[in-house]
Order: sequence, then C-alpha cells, then structure tokens
Amino acid sequence: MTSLILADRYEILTHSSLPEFDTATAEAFEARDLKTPEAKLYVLKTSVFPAPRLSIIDPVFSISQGNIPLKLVHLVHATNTTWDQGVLDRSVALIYHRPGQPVMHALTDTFSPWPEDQIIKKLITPLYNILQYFHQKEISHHAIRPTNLFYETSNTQGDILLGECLSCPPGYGQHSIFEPLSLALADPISRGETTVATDLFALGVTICFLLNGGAPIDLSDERAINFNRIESGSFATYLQNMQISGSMTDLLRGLLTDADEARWTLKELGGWLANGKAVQLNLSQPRRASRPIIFNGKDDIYTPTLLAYEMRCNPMAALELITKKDIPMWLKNGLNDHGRVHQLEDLKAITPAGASASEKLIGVLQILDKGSPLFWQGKSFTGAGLGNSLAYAIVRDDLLDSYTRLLLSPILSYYLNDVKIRGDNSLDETLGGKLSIIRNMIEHRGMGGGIESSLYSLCPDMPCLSPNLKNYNALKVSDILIGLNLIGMGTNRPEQIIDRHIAAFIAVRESTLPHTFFREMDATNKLKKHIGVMKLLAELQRRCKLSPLQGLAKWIVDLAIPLLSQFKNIHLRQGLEKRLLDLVEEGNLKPLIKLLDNRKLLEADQLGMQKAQVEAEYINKRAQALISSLNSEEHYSQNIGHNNAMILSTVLSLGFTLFYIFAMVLK
Amino acid sequence: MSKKTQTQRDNSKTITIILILFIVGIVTYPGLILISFIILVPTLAALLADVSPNYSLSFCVGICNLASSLPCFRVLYNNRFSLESVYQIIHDPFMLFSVLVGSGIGWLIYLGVPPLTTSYYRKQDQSNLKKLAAKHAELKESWGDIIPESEVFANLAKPIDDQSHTQ
Repeated sequence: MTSLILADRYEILTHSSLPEFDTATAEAFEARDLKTPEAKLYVLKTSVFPAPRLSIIDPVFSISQGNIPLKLVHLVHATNTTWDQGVLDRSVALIYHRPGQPVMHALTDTFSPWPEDQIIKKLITPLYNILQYFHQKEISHHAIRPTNLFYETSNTQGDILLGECLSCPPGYGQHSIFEPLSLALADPISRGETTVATDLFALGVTICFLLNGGAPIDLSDERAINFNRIESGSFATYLQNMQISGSMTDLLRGLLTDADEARWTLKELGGWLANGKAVQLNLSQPRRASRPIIFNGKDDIYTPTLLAYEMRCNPMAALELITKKDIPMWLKNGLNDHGRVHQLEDLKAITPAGASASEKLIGVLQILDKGSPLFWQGKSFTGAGLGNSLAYAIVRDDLLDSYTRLLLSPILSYYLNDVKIRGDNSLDETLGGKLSIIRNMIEHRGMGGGIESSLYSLCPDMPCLSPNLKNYNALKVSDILIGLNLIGMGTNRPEQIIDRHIAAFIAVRESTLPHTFFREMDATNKLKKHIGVMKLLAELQRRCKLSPLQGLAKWIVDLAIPLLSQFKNIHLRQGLEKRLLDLVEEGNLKPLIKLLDNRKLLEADQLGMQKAQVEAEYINKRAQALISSLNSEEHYSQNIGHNNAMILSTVLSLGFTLFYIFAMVLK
Repeated sequence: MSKKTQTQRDNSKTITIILILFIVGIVTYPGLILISFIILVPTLAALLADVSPNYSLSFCVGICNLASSLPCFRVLYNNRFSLESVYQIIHDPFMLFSVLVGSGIGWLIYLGVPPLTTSYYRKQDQSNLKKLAAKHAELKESWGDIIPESEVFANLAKPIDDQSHTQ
C-alpha cells in the first residue's frame, strides 16, 4: 500500500500511520488535501465489523460544515472506499482535520489538575455548544472522554477539540465509568444509539478527570466501581476525595445522576453556564431492605438493584435463586415492596409454559432493576444494542442457537415494546413490534430467512457479514454484486456464490423482491438451485442498473458447467457449454438464465435419452442374433442356397428345352 | 448330422412306385422304358445319394438330366419307340455324352450355388453387424455412459473374420 486518492482531492498516505488518532476499531493514517496542501488531515480506516455509525455520518457532517465554528474535530469527507485495488479490502474512510495531541493518552495517565474556570471555558462551554447541535439532530456523540479530547493546533491558548464519534459503534470505545449505570452494565458492543443525556453523564465524568488530574477512582476493579455506583450512586463514587467548589459540585451532581430522567438536561446545563444557578434535584435514595438477602455467599445485599447486579455477575446462582421462592419472600418481608411481588406474579403469565430459566431471568432482572440492559446467557444489551450484540455473536459464530431462542421468545418483545425505533420512517414502530415480524423471518429456515435475516432487519446499517464478502464492506445490494464480481475475477473463489448471509441481506434490503427468488435457491436439485441464484443475481443487476459483470458471469458459468451433466446428451451439453462461455464476455446475466432455464430442452433431452436406450437395447439384441448366426455351423442361408440351386437348374433346363424345341421347329 | 439324415430317409416308396411304373412301361413301351432307364441312371444315382432336406440334389440333377435327354427322346419318338432306335441311341456316344454333361451340370449347380449363397449372406450379415456397431458407437458418443457397454461389440474389437472362422 502506498497512497490513494479519494474524491479526486484527498491523498491518503497509507504508509504513514498516526497511532495517536487510532480508535478502538479504526486505524489512523496521514492524509493531504490536494487543493489546500497546508491543511493537515488524517483519515480513519474503519473496520467492517464492528461497523462505524453510518446512520449519523450525515448529521455529523452537516454539523461540521455548519457556519458556526465548533470545537469538534472537523469531518471533511466520508466514503466507503477500497483500500487496495484488486483486493477485497474495503471499508469506510473518515477524513478529519488533524488536531493536536490528546489531553490524555490513556485513562490511567496523571497530569496537573485543571482549574475550574479553565474547565468551564475550555471544556464545558464548547461541549455544551456541540451537544446542542447533536441534540437538534437527535443524535448523541457517545464518545466523550479525556482520551478523545485534543488540543487545538491552530492556537496557543490551550483550546481543546472534541474527538470523532463515528468510527466505532455507539459507546464501544467508552470505559464503563463514562456510561450511566443503565448502559455501563451492557457489553460495549451492545450499548446502542442513545441521546445527549448519555453525553452529559460522560461530560460529568470527564470533568472529574480534569479536576482530579487523572482518574477519580481506581479503574482496575470495574466490578467494585459498579458495586459502589449502585450502592452509593455515581456522583458519590467519583467525587470521594475531591475538593471542589459548591457550584461545580452542583453541576456534577446534576450531570452524574444515574437515572436518565433525573439527570440535568442541556437546558439546565445552559442555565448553569449562564448564571451559575443550579436546579435542585429531587433525588430519592433506593429503599433498603430491613434484612439482606443471602445470594451466592454474600450477605450485604439490601437493594433489589444490587441483587440484580450480583445476579448478572453470577448467572448460574441466579438461575438457582429464581427457582426458589426467596426473592418474593425477601421483597415482601424485607422491603415491603408489593409492587415488585405482583410483577413477579405477572411474569408467570407473560412467560410461556415451556419458558427456560434464562427467559425467566430476563424478566426477574428487569423487575429488580427496571431499565437495566437485558441479560441473556452472559450477554448484556440494550434494546437498541440488540442488533450489534447479535452481529457480534454471528461474527464469532458463538451462541447463535441461543440468540435464535431469545428472538423467538415473547418475553423479549414484552420488554422491548416501548423501545422506539430511531431513524425509521414509521414513527410509531417499536422494537417489540418489529420483533414479531423478525420472528416470522427466523422461522423461515430457507435462504433469505433465519437468524441472518433478523440481523439485517435489526441493523439497517450493518454491512453484509458473509464470509465471502467479509472484507468488502458491502453496504448496499449493488456492493454485493460488485464484490461478487471481483471475487469472480480471481481464482480463489468460494464454493457457492450466494450464502445465507448474502441471501438474508438481499431479502431485507430489497424487500420488494418476490419470495420465489429465494424459494428457488432452496431446491435440492443443484441445477435448479443454481438457476435460482442466477435469476436473483440477474434481477439485482437489472434493478441496480449495473454495467456488465464479467467476473460474476464467469463464476456463474464455471459453477454451471459441472451441473450441465443433468443434460444427458453429450453434444447438447458441449453446445450449451460453448454458448455459456461465449456469453461470459457480455457480462449480462439474463441471457445465461435463458440458456439454462429451459424446461422444454430438458424434457427433450430426457425423451431423447429414453429413445436412445431403447435403440441401444434393440441394436444389442440384433447384433447378438447376427453373431450367433455367424458362429453357427448351419447358416440360415443354406436352405436358400439349395432353393437357389433348384431355381437355377430349372431355369437352365427350361432354357435348354425351349432352345432345343425352337431349333427343331426352325429346322 | 448328414449321416443321421441319411439313415432316417426312406426312399423305398419312391423306388417301389418307379419299379411298378417300370414294369407297366416295359410291357407297353419297352423301348421308352429301356432308354429312360439307361439315360436316367444319373438321376437315380443322385436320388439314392441325396441327403439334402428338400431333395434339391435329385431335383437339380434330375431336371438337368431330363433336359439333356431331349435329343434321345426325340430320336425314340421319331422311330416310334422301337428297340432298334434304342440300340442306335445307345451306340451313339454323343447322345450319351450330352446326357452325362447335362447331369454333370446339375451336380455342379447343386455343389456350387448353396456355398455361394451362404457366403453372400454371411458377408451381408457381417456388413449389418458393422453398421450396428457403428450405430451403437454413435449412440455412445452422443449419450455416453447412459448407453451400457455391449459385450457383443466389445468382442467385435477382434476382427469379425476371426470370429466367423470359429464356426
């Protein structure tokens, strides 16, 4: 790799890496603007999976291109590009103006604490402005942390810029301490898109870092941090020994509130910035039980939230606990919490008769800690992060059956019924409603269905994760065809053109395609199956108005030639093979189908074969008869010979007699 | 097989009928009977020696013998079947020679025509077999392994003449 040019303007120096700008999933390289060579740029080469946040690239780009200068790294260009020509190495490139050094290289770094006024001027005010724009666009940054803050290179006043947020899935690069508790317990890949409320919490934690000159708490024991956050709240956990002003304390109390609905909003933050006034929070401490519940050897669990957390950490013991009556008894007698007891009773009605203990555990954890991430067989995910969680399992080929069971379970729909689908045309559609559609897709086990289709349905921006196209980052159906065309041009081709992933991707993205295309691909007859594949690809070529695809046509023909053995007549087969090879150069898939999908030709071939077999049998019998006759001592023609002799002698005698009579008469 | 046929054939009825006719004839036309007996000796010999299934030898020799005897019968008829004319015919070497030649031709036809016919038919069979083999090969070429291999044609890889010699 040397360099490549994007949009005829940006030169990417792929040999010159910039590790200080690397993100959790993207590599940074130097870039140049050919029109303004003095501008320093860098490019992020994102991964195919975990996928970048494609859905918010446009809003972020419009924020970057806005008239008001924001303290946000400037997004210059974003595109899905091929990094090495001729090789399936394709991913999204994000080109930014290059900032200075990061404020912190790692979360464990220490530095001189920042004065409060400097934090307000350099951090809070600029980020407030940025978040207002994000709020207007109904998106979140979800990557606010000290390691993603950079000094500005253009001035010497120590101004900082907020780093990028597009290269990773939302919250993927965030340490759990920057996330509200409702997201901190979710797996990083499965946090999902959120609102600026999450960013305000992360801003609060970042302020703590700058005030403290490093991490406000020991980051080595994440479990202990979570335990303390649940027991004492995040504010108390992060500001244990910090000496700060009352005004700053008010701000942090407002930002570090764990409950999303109680946390300060941008309006309250704006008010605080304008006149230093703090809005009084009406925080209620979680009710503590009169006696602890003993779980997994621990006897210091007094709140349902903490019990839920401990149950997440020890799922086997949790499964054992829910089979007993301990939780309702404790809630009733220890907490006098009849509301939760009734909810536990209702859970029996929600869960089907044959529901597994894991399904019940989802419900129990939601009752004990409402709004926390859903927990399923060791995986924690939010409603919005379910798609990414599933994608992660598919990429690792791990727990797929388990996810299928989860998606088919009615309990999941129940708890996701009030989760709105973001960015969808239908404003009223909820994730729970979508899951009922997805369930039908999963139950269709053929091509275009199964767990793969649920993935692409849940994640509209997910590239096709087919092993065939794993490095091609196919985001659109046309990308699939172009990628397959590239594979077809090479020699190292997979056994099948369309696998389950590609079929599911096409089925979901091209929802107007008739289902017959996919049904044909489920045929057991290999030729029929291949014709089904060809029909689908030809239809997509027509719909996408793609230029000739010689590579794909060659691949199709190479796979079709062995299948021509279904045509029994060798001459017909050879003729078809020759015509198929002739059509490869055209790169148009439709004529290939016309040639192969010919029922009459196949029937004529079958009929011809039957006739040939009958004829061969007749020839064999006739030949056997001739051979036996030739080999026998008495040939059938001996009698004919004798007859011939008699005829000849008769003729001669009659001839002589007539001649003699005539001779005598004439004499 | 020919010996078996020979032993099984019973010509006694024919000979008996001929003998009766001979006795009746010798009483009424002694000249005719005498000359007939003398010139039809080759036919009688052929009849006795005939082992063919349809008396083809007797027929061939007899009809030729009869045809070649026409000059003798004409002389006999001209002399009103007199014994003198019998004597004259017997003593005419040309007459007897023509009778023998006629009978000889009958023998030659019997000996020559059947082998020639058989040979012709064998050649035609071999030609047909080759055509069938070519047709079978053509089917194999068009349909491949669907057409089963034939032992008959596999053996034909050897020269057909060699096979026919084995008969």
